[in-house]
Amino acid sequence: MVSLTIERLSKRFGGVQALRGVDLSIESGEVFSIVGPSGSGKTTLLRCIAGLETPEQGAIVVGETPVFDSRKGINVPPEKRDMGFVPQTWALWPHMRVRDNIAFGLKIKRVDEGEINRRIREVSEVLGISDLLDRWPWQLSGGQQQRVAVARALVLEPKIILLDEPLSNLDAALREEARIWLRDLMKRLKITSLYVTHDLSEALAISDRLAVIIDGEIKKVGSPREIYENMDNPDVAQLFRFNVVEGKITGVDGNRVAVEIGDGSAICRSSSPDKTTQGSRAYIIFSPEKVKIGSGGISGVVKSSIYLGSSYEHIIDIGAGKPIKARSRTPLTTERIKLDIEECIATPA
Amino acid sequence: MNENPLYAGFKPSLQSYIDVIRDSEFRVSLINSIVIALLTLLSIPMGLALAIVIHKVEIPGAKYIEPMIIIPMFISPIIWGFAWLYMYGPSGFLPRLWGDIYGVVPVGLISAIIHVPHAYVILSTALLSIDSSFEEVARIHGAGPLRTIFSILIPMMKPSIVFSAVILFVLGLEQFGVPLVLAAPIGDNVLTTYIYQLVTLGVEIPYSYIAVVASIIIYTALTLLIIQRYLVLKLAKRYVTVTGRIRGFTKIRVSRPVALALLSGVLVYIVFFIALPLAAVVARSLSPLYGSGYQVTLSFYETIATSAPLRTAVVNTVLVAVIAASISIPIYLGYALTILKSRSRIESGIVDVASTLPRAMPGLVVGLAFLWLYLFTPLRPLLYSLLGLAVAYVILWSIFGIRVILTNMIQISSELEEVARVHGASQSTVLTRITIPLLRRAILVTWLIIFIYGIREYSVPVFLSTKNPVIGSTIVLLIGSGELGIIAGLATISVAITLAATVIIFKLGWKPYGAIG
Repeated sequence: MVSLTIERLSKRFGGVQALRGVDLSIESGEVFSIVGPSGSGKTTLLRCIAGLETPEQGAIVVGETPVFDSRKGINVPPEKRDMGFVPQTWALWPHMRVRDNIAFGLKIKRVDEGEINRRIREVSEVLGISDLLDRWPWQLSGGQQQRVAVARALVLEPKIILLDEPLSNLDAALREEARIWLRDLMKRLKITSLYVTHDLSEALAISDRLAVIIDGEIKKVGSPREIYENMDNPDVAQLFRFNVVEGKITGVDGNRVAVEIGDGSAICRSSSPDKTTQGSRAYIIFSPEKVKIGSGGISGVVKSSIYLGSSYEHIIDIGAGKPIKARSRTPLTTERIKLDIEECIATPA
Repeated sequence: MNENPLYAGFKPSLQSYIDVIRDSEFRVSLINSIVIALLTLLSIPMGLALAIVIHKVEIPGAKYIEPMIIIPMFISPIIWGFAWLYMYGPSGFLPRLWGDIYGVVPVGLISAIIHVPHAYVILSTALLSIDSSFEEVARIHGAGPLRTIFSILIPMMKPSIVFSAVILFVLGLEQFGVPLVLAAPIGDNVLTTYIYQLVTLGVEIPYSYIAVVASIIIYTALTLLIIQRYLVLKLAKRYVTVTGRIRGFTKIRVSRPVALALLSGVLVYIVFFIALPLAAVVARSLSPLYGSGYQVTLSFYETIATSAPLRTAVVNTVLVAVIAASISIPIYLGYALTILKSRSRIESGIVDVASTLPRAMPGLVVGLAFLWLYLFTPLRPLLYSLLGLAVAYVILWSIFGIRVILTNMIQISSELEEVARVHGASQSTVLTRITIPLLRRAILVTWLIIFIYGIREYSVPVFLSTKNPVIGSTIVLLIGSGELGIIAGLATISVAITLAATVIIFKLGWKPYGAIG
């Protein structure tokens, strides 16, 4: 169980800057997620940590040991970094039975036969795959393959386990079950885990802390609650399906500001009070749940509504550029409505 | 043969080109080659029809029929030349209901028939990569099966049809075996037989003259192949939908009578164009007499077994094929790995261009090139040796073999290797424990294909195996000797070995699609 520190990591592919000076520090035993849209650089970051890609600049330190440092010319090959890896496709070697898949890394480390068998028995009991050991990978279901892939990484008792969207090939119901199972497992084994995903709800559910990466830059780091309740970055907000509209600040009172939106206004908390001054422009960030429909000072026109099961989601034009998303328990009966924004964050534009 | 250093007193000059173009026999040969090339294009409609029937229509036994369509590819054109002679020739097994089998036009038609497998493979590759949803939409929108084939499938295969047309034209242009058996004996030369004649008969012919004739074939073929690449790239952009990914592939359901009619059409093709000619070879090898009064005898095989040069030729053929196949594997594997790991555009560009070159060169010219290479460079120890011949094979077919390994390597998800790396395996351990075991089948298939090609080859060894003959070159030498029974015996042995290896390849689940491309 070790910590993982990443300093100013940069990686370029041809003309594309995949990582732009990434800094991260992951505590030991933590389940840490990297979330981002496709092409954001999250998988590149994981591959750099594994040693499968070589960054141009920066450092990667596992515990106290640097495994990569561009200035000192350190670049430990992947096989010497003592990590476990669960790739997106699970990549179970098709020419080996489940048992041999799991034993592979131990055999390379020349662990003796008895110990190998003991560890395979142990890990397969923990993962509930004891009866699959003599099967071939193609004889397994998706969920079973995923468990074997996790077992193959865990059996090595690695310092850090890297998981690259390991649940994306499971169907929806199984996926929700698997994320709870996986989080319990990581916490129980107290293993430092780096989890890459594009699925926001998965990241919120599984991690102790998470980092949001967009265009090769870390935009936000924190616990799921800190991030969700402190949404002050417009790019991150859009990724999390928050509303982001632009407006003019019409009044300031400490860290609270009044902002003009459409034909009305809203009172928001300012993310940086020294910059959100009277008359300046700001991004107003708020979640669809915080829009109160029915009464209020802002008028809007309902463009469309869809039924989500527990609520309705509406797309409403309030004359502030992009239409906003809002939710209600009951269907709306009229097209022209009044609404209020209950909670919002203003951040300088 | 004159063995003076080739480049002594080298002075650049176009005189040889002018001499060649003025030579009327060259001009006639060129025209004959073009006629044969054009007739070879008839293989495309035949290959297209077969591809559609086999892959797109539900006919009984398609699985067993396909290997029979492909097998002729593995048998040498010179054997086919004799096969047609024994079956349909003046003293052949069938009654004569048609004109003469000798001449340029019959050679062109036979060339078309023996190249149907090539057309079939290229067009099948294209057909199988068209997602069935395109036809399904057409069907749902009211088009019948025939309409769907002609307005959707065939138009979508246009880039591949152009592609196959150029390849087949070049194969026809460079045809050597069939014209050597069925056109040259009556004085109708084509480019390759003309070169052969110049080298073997021409006492006073300078090397430069031969080189020019050879270069003209190469230039023509290369130009065509470059135009083809350009056309295919241009067309492929418009036909982006034809991808390599097969998401859904459904067959057209037809009524039982229609299915049986189509099946019998295919069977007639197999019986008359493949099975009967090959049967004629076997029959001829067992009978000293023509036509009536057929008697079975093993005397030709006894001759082959007892005559030292003939026996050596058979043994040499197998030896060269085994040597070539065995040294090809580490070389191709290393080459494929380098290409894949470097991921460099320039390198893949070079490979792309290099893949065009061997196809632009007739085997005869390749043989000549290696002969001169071994004669005039420090590689002289390889001259006329089995190893020298095997080296020529390995280089000549490298692109083909590398492609088989490369396509399989690409299919191995890089994650399979990466997990191993992260879990403690060094690069060489990954290679020996993960990559090569996963490529086992591809390696075996490549070995067998190079082996089969080695057994089949007849034009490269013509000049390269003078002191160590193989079956192919021996058959070429025996033409005109009247030893038709011996030729049939050698051909039968060659076909038997080929068929045995082919059965194993098909058992391994090998599919030829994408193999010629």
